[in-house]
Amino acid sequence: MLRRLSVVVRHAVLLAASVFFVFPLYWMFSGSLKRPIEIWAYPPKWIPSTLQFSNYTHLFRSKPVLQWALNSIIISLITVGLVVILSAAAGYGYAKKRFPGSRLLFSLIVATMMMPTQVTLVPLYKLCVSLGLVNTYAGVILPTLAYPFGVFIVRQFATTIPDELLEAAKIDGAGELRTFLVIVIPMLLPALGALAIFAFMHSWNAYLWQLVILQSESMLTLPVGVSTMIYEEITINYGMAMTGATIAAIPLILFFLALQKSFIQGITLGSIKG
Amino acid sequence: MYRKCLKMTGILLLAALFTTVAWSSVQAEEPQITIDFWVGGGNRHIPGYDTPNHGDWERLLAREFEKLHPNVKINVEIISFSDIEQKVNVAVAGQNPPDILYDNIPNRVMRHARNGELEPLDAVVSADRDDWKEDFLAMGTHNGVLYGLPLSSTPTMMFVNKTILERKGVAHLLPEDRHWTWEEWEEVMAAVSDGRIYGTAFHALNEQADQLMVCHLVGAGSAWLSDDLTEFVINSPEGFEALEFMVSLIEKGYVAPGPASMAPGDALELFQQGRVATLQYVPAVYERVAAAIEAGAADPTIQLYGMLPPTKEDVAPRLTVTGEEGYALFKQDDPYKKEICLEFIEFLASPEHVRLLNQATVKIPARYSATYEIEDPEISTMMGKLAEYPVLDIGKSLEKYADTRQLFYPEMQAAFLGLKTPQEALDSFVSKANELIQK
Amino acid sequence: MKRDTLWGYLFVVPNLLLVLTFLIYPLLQAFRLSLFDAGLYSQTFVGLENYREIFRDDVFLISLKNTFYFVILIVPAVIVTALTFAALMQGFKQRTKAVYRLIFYLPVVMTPVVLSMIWRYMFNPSYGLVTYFAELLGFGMVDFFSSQTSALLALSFVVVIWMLGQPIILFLSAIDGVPPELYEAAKIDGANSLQAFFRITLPMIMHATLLITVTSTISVFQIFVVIHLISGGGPYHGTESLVYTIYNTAFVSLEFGKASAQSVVLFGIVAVVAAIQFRLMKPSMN
Repeated sequence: MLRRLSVVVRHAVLLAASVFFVFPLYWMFSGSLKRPIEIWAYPPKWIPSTLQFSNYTHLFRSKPVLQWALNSIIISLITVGLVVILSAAAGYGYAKKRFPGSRLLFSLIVATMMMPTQVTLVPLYKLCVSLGLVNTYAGVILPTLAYPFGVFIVRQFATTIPDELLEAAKIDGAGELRTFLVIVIPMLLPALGALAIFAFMHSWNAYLWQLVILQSESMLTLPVGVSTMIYEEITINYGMAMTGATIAAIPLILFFLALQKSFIQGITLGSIKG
Repeated sequence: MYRKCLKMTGILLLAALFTTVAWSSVQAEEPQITIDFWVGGGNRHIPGYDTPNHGDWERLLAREFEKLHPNVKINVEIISFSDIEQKVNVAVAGQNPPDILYDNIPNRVMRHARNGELEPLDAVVSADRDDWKEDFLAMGTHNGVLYGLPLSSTPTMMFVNKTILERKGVAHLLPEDRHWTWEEWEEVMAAVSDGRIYGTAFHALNEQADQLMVCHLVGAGSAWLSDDLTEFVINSPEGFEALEFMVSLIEKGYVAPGPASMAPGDALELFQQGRVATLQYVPAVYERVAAAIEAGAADPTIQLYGMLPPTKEDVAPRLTVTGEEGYALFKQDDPYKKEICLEFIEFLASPEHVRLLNQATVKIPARYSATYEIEDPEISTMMGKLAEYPVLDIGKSLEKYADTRQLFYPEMQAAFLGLKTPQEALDSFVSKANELIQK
Repeated sequence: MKRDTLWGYLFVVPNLLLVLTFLIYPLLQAFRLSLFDAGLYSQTFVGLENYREIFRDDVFLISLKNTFYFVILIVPAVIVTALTFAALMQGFKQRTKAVYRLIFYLPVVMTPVVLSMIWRYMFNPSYGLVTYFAELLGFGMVDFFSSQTSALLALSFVVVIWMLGQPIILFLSAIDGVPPELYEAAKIDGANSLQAFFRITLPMIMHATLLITVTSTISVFQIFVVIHLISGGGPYHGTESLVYTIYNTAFVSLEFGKASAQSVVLFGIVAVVAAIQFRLMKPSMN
């Protein structure tokens, strides 16, 4: 009895908190469907009186939104793929391989985690100009590929891999690469799953860098493109902004949902292995 | 027969040679050029053209120019007014600036001019120089050379939403001469402010549109800068009085809440929603409100009545000016490309184009031949009225003008929040700003 | 070369190359630039003058203070809240947890630009929801951004909400990783669930807690978009953080040398704070 009450109470607390998280999303979505003047209504209009899709049609007609979405998706998928591979390798290397300088290099990587992007913005931009990377996919991807947090996560997780397992593989005659691909990676899956989500978000939301390195409208990513619409006029066009934001949120939610499943699987696998 | 063939071959070969040489020399004369044209904000609703979005006008003109010059391709990038300054700065820092820039001349473009990043534009105006108003050209001139070509400027004025006054029964207080003293203005605001509707709005979130606040501050007759532009003098007794007046309005509840964190766009939005009765802004609001009402984004009952900025009794209004957008050309290595760019700027700044642009935004054109007819009697009366009053020089020609703007709005925030007295705020601003411009 | 060593390098080098090129090299450039008076067009060597100047600058000192306030307000709030929520979810079905996980991650999914815009709108004293609810509760019109203290609190609240998603995911997976046998043993010993939580769960998830503490701290030092778009650093520098000051110095005042000096200071502070956190939590990590 008491147990059941406790469950109800816990749900109540969590649901109450959820309001602060879900409501902005709802407000964004309903704002995209309202007549512009309803956005300013006071007392606020909770539900749009009529559903206006004109914001969406106007948006698609006047801005290359699909191109923006494509840019973001391509960039982020490539980034995630590469970050996961590179971080897995590096994390495993720092955790399980003994080589001179490994501690020093790892501390270096951890140190760079603390760097705010503003610090390196201009030198990085100059570097990319000299490498001819301005306004290119590569220019957006390459700096975000060096994702020290990824190495950190994998390394911490990889230290929990039992050495005996690796020894056994060596004795069985498995090569380094084989060991890595067949034994280590499956064990790292929960961490890699989480890493994929974080890396995707990091890449997708790298607003300041994307703003700086991308010049032409057709190359913009979705978040940057949407934000250009917000400040187009001196009065903020909330309706358009919310429309753009709603569209921008969909790929992310889908990606998160898709990865959640394998993420849970990875955890279950991990806990069975014990 | 053989000789004939030889002759034919010889002639054909010669013809081929000539054609090749002629063709390649033509090609050499007309190489492919790509121009990067960055537009800060951009214009829309140009009469007679299909230009519903900001920047459509610039894109349209670029296409027209491309048709005249098939070997030229123009990449038009429309960048929001608030983002473009930083974007250009980053590009310049990375030694990768655009070719042609459309942005505010005195506030933004001239910084690059003073640092030698721009090409002279004298060639563009040489043909019809006397059609250009000298004080506009002066804005873009540095060391006697023209680097920025402004197309327009716009004075500040005050808008009144007549409907609100009518609802509160004070419409009779609207003056024919379109000018209120501070007392008269306060009387109206007291009548209309009811906790839901406010008399006016102030804004101090950032440096944007700070000229509107400056206009209030000189309302008691204070000077802003010394006559020789070597020091700020707004911390005079009249300056204090003006800021004290503004703060008292806030305390009495006549001003929309949150002035310290309000952006000019927020204030304008409140006005468009019928929540604010009077607002200091620029004539473009006439067009803006009409368009917003049509798009169902503003209170449809708004009736606009234009006024001069309010001043203390017996003080004549002085106007501040903004909106001096125009063109600039970054340094070019290729002389042919430079020539084409200059030609493009001349095309963009033709009398016809300048006229259309100013007509759409209700601004004052930089060319004499670009005057336009205003159909709406309210607007034409107001523009005529504004032309009678002097413009206050707030120091846009100063090298560090843009930096002093960054010092100004925080002091206004402090005053609005009561963190500093008006005297402290203005003294603080003046001492910091003077230190900056006298370095 | 030993096989281990060779393969060690092979695994590590690709990532290292990227880090060196795109993180370390620009950072070193920034260090170098901090010793110059650098504008858009020219640079002159000034040694440590920039550092002297920034510590004399009121705004820099205020933003240092604000940054510390942000860290002190936000990081503990994030950790405690995320841990509490994750703990509350113990015993729920995986599917239920997945739903909550998504809910709490939603603010991250909305781009920070739009999230900031919406919260700015909600805080607006003339038509925002915060004012609306305050009026419903009888408080009258409320403007969180009319005072520096309330502005700090309001912004911290928004940031906590924005940052909660990632720690919750990490805590959930860490708690799931605790072997159930330990709980069995505790139950046999007569411990109730609360005691079990403090004596078993918390110590076992120390590595996750450390990770979250360090990354949250670093994140808080880096927040920019939210501040820029909601309060503009105001009122009167009241919510201006170090990163915001750096941005202004670099891109508004165009003093890249000074901005680099400020960045070096920020970097130093973050490094020290992170090192302290590592130290404090390391013993309990085994």
